[in-house]
Order: sequence, then C-alpha cells, then structure tokens
Amino acid sequence: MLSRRAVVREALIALVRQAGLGAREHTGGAASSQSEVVLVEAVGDISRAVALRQSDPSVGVVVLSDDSLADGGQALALIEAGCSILPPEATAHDLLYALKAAARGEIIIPPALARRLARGRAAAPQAEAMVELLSDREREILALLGAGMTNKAIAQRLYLSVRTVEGHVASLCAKLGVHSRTEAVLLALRTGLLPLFE
Amino acid sequence: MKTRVAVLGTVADLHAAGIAYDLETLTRLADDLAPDLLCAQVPRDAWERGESGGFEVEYREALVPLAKVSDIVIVPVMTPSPEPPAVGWRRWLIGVVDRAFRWAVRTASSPEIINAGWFSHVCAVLCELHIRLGGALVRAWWEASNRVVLENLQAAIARDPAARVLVTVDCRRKHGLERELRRIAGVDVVPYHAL
Repeated sequence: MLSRRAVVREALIALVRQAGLGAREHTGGAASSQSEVVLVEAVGDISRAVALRQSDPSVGVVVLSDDSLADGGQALALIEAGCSILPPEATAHDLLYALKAAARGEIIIPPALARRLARGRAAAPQAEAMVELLSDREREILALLGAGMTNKAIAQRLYLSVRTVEGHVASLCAKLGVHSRTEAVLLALRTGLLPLFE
Repeated sequence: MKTRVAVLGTVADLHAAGIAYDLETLTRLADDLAPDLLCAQVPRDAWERGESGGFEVEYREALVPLAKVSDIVIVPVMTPSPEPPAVGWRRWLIGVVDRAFRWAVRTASSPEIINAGWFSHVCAVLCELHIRLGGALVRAWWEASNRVVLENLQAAIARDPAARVLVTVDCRRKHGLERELRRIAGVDVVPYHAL
C-alpha cells in the first residue's frame, strides 16, 4: 500500500488483511520481489504508479484515483503503463476485486471512463477526415477563427483581402457541413481538430 | 484573370506642408478607391511589431488610421534599412537635387498632377540623379530596396490574385515600379483613379 496519508494506509491494510490477503506498507521505490500488487493512492500525481510498473512489469498496480483523472490523458497514461484504475466512488468490494484481478495480470477500468476514452478515440478519425477535406489555407483560417479573430483581423494577419478571407470561411463551412463560423469552431473543438485550451 | 494594380505616388513630409495633396486629400483618395490591399512603403518587421512611430507621415497619420477603420488591408513591402547618407560633396549635390524635387512637388501640388505620367518621368529623372550623385552605397541601397518592394508586391499578388491592389510609394519610385510591374504576367497596371 502506497499512500502519503498514514490513516489511509492503515485503514486499507486492515481492510485487505480482513479479506484474508496479505498486506503491508510500501516504503516507496521499487516493489519487493514478494509483492504481487501495489495499491497506490494517486492524488493528482500519477507518476509514482507509472514508475512502479515501468520498474517491474510483473508487479500489478491498482490506482485509487481522484477527480483529476477526469483528464483523459492521465487515465490513458496509466492504462498504457498497465495500471488498474479505481474511481473515487469505488467500494471495499470493488477494491478487493481489483487487487485480485491485478494479481492475475488483469487491468480493471471503470466502465464510465472506458466509454469516455472510447468516444475520444472514435472522434479522432473525424478530425483526420476534416484535415483531409480542408486546404492548408482553410485550416489556417479555422485556427484563427478559433482564436476569436474577426475576418478583418485574419485578413491583416495573413495579408489577404477581407473578401478572400470571407470566401475561405464560406468554403470551409460548406466543407464541414455547418452554417456559421461559430459552428465550424465548435465542430473543430469537439472533434479535436482544434485544441480546447492553448 | 489579371490582378488590377495601381501605383499612387506619395510625397512624405510634403503632405503636411500646405500643398493641395495634403494628408486629408490622401486619406479621402484612398478611402474612395477602397483597395482590397494597400501595399505600403513601410518595413514589415516594424509593422508586425506595431511600431508605426518611425513611418513616414502619410502612413502614420493618414493611411494606417484609415486601414484601421475600413476593410483595407495593409501589406508592408519596404526593406527595413534606411538609405545610407552620402558624404562630402556628394551630400551637398544631393541636397540640391532634393530641393529641386521638393520645389517640383510644391509647384505641382495636386495628386492628379503628381501622379500624372509626365510628372512621374520628372521625378524618376531627379531620383536617378540623386542615386548617381549619391555614390555606390546609395545606388546599392536603392537597387536593393526597389528589388525588395517588387518581390513583396509579387508575393502579395500571388497570395491573393483576385484582390484590387493599390501600391503607395515615394513618387520618385512610381515610374520605375510601374515599368517593372507591367513585365509581370497576370498583372494589369491601371491609373490609380481607374482601380
């Protein structure tokens, strides 16, 4: 059991022992050869969990996550490292199940997280198709629309006439099947063609 | 389809010297013409840094403010380096030529005359005299800056061939620039009032 908080460590060790499994405190660093699974409390920082798996792939790692794992990027990093993830609302039963599964080499992921990650992956091909549809200049203008620039500002940035920029905006809207620059930007954000935050 | 390009000669600080071709007249002229692109004799690096304080008065106080409140897009086409000064007797002779040029502009006074073909010839002759008297460094600068202006114009036209382009340059460059632009395929050089 790896956690910063002594009370959490002691409580979880007691819970696991009560279920007839062996448990002890993990003192950090590489897992001992006798450990089969390391339970890690990851509060905003997943690096220790990932490092444990990387140092010894034969050790199972189960991560007690908090709401910071709403960021799909961190969740993916844990899964790719071979870590199981328990959500904040996991029960004692869920914990014991995950520990036993990890000892067998399985990875446990909360269903809601799995669905969200799957949706994100499914959206990626849409972004790729959009990239293929749009010309280089249209992609450039879409990015500037996403930055909130007016047609005049875009024209001045790119040294094009306003009429030409208006033409490109109309063209990219038609190609994307939307009716306004706002819809074009929203579609691009939703599909990952434009990043949500810079 | 050819890109319509007109060259409008400007007269720098003389616009503010009480002649008929003053800053207000220049602003009104450019506003009436309403070009899509205004290729201006200002350096690109200073323009992109927003440093218009060093621009000639016709840009600082007339054309840039006009562009901000209209759909006119300014395309900077000038080289950033200033003309090197002539020295010694060359400097004195250039001073004489430049005073003759200023006298000609004050006499001509209106935008129509200053941009007329024959006046452009006069300005071009005075410009050539200025260059020859200035020496090798001054000649090299004028040749390089004319080349940079032309290349930047070609790039602007290639980027947006459907645009109506107004080029504003020192009236001494007008004649030579129009000659070079007429050599470019796909460009239709027109008088400024026909843009």
